[in-house]
Amino acid sequence: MPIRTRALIIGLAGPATQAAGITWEALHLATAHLDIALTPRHIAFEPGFLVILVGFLVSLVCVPLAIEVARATPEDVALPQLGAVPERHDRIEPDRRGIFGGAE
Amino acid sequence: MILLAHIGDYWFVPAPLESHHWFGAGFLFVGVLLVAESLAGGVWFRSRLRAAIWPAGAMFMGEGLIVVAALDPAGRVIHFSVGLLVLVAGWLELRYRLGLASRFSTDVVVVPALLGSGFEMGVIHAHGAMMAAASHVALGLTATGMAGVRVLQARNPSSFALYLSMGLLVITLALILLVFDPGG
Repeated sequence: MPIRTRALIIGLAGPATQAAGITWEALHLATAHLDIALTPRHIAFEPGFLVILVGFLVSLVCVPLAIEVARATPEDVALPQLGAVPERHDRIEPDRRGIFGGAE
Repeated sequence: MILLAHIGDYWFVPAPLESHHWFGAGFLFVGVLLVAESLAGGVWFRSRLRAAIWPAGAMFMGEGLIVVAALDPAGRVIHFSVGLLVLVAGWLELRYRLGLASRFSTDVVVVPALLGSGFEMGVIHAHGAMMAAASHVALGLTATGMAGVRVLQARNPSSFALYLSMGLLVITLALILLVFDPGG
């Protein structure tokens, strides 16, 4: 996938999530809250509002990341090997080498 | 924990459905970030703080489940054991990402934790109304799918498709919790 496309998707992840949350909540309010008052508890726990909040938090992480990705090379966006690398014991330690660089 | 067990009826304690929404929001956050992580690749791991978001999020939600177990008498053993499994799996994933543990030693715990959580949620806890039982089965199947992806990732850790699949499965988990009513 091209770098620009990756950066664009990452940058739009937060706003897209927020848009989904706003649509969700608008539909919910239009269908279920025409006669019922909106309470603080509703805002704290209803999925629509929570998805808007998640979109905001995702934007905080993803907008700076999108800028970094846009400046990266294709090698930079390759997935790295994570985790501890097992120690190798087949190498000669530097302090055990001879005076001319050969093994003792 | 003793204090938590005695405040379950107060107004500020979320009802089961409300806490499911909070957990759904938490999983949606880490799921979207996992998708972003798969797209950003090595750039994501330039920051150790960013690399720690997913395991820290999992640990936070594991602790949350343990708090739910203390507050809500219904399904106390299930919530506590799944919370503990998620907490331990998150801690090991954090060690793996920081280069302190190998993939194998992490997966030895994470894969059985996902399978165990899937079995508890999808089989033991799948009761109640039709929609609630179906939601629990869907949660269990999603956790089992995550365990499967994790096993495949051990063979090919740099696979973009597998990384993306894990993110999409976590988003699926979130949507089940947000849209349906597993507690009802």
